[in-house]
Amino acid sequence: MRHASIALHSASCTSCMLCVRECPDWCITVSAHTQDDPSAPAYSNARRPSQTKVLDAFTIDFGHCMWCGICLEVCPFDALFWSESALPEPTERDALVLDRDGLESLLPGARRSDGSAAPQLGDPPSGRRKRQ
Amino acid sequence: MELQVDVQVRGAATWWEVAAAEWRPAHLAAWAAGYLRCEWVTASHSGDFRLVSHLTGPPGVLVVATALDGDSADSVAGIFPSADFHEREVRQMFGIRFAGAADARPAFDVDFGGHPLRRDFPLTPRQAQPWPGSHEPEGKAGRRAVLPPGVNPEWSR
Repeated sequence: MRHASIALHSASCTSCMLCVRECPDWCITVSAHTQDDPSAPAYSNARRPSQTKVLDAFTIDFGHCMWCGICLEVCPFDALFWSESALPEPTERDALVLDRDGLESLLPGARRSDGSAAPQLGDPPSGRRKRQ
Repeated sequence: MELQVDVQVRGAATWWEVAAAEWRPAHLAAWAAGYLRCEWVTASHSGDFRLVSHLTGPPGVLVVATALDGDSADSVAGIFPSADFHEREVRQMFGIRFAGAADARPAFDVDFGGHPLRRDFPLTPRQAQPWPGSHEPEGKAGRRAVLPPGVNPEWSR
C-alpha cells in the first residue's frame, strides 16, 4: 500500500508516550489528563476510583516526519496506521503539523499491515486497550 | 614497486582495500587499469577516518578504500579532476586535509562551525529544542530520565 500519511485512531490511544519518545525526529507531541474512569466496574472494596488518561492533544509534524514507521511499530495499542489518504495540501509551513482532528481525517485510507481497513472514527479500540 | 592491495568482489564492484600511504598510488594503478572516471570520493568517521572513492571505466566499477591514521591524505585530483569537488566537500564535512590539493575553498558557502559529519559534532537543534518525550502527558516532568534517540550525553557536558 502507499504510505501517504499516518492516521491516528484516538480511541485506541492511551497516552503512553512511547511514540513520542521513540520518534527519531521528535515529530510527535502528546498531552493528556487523568480523570476518574466512568466505564470501570465499581468494586466495593476499592480505596479510590479507577482512573484513566484522556487524550487532549496529539500532533505529528509531517514537515519533519521521515516516514520511518517507528511510531507505528512501537505503539502497544495499535493506534497509529499507515494511510493512503493524502496529507492536506499546505499553504504554509504550519499546515504540515496535523492535530488530532487532522490525523483522524486520514483514517478512511488507513490500513493495517494485513491490508484490512483500520478502525474508523467511532469504532471501538481493537488493539490491546481494554477500556475506552 | 608492488602495490599491496586486498582485492574483493562485492556484487557488481571490485573493492581495493589499501593502506593510507598507498591511497594515491592505488589511484594511479586504477587509472592505468582503465578506471578513467571518478564518480565519488567520501569519508566516514567512527573512531578513525575511512576514505572511499568510486571509480568507473570500461572494466567496470572499482571502489578504493583506506583507513586513515590521522586526518590527512593525498589528493587524487591530479589524476581524476572530478575528485576535486569531492575532496573539498570531505575537507569541509570531515576536516580531512588533502595534501597537494589545488583548490582550498570549502565546497559549500555555509559556516557549520565545525565539521558536521564527524561523530562528535553536536546536533545543536537537539540540544536547544525541548524534547517532547521529556515530560509526562500531563505536562510535568517524569520520574524517569530518558535521553531522546540520537542525542549523545557528552554533548551537554
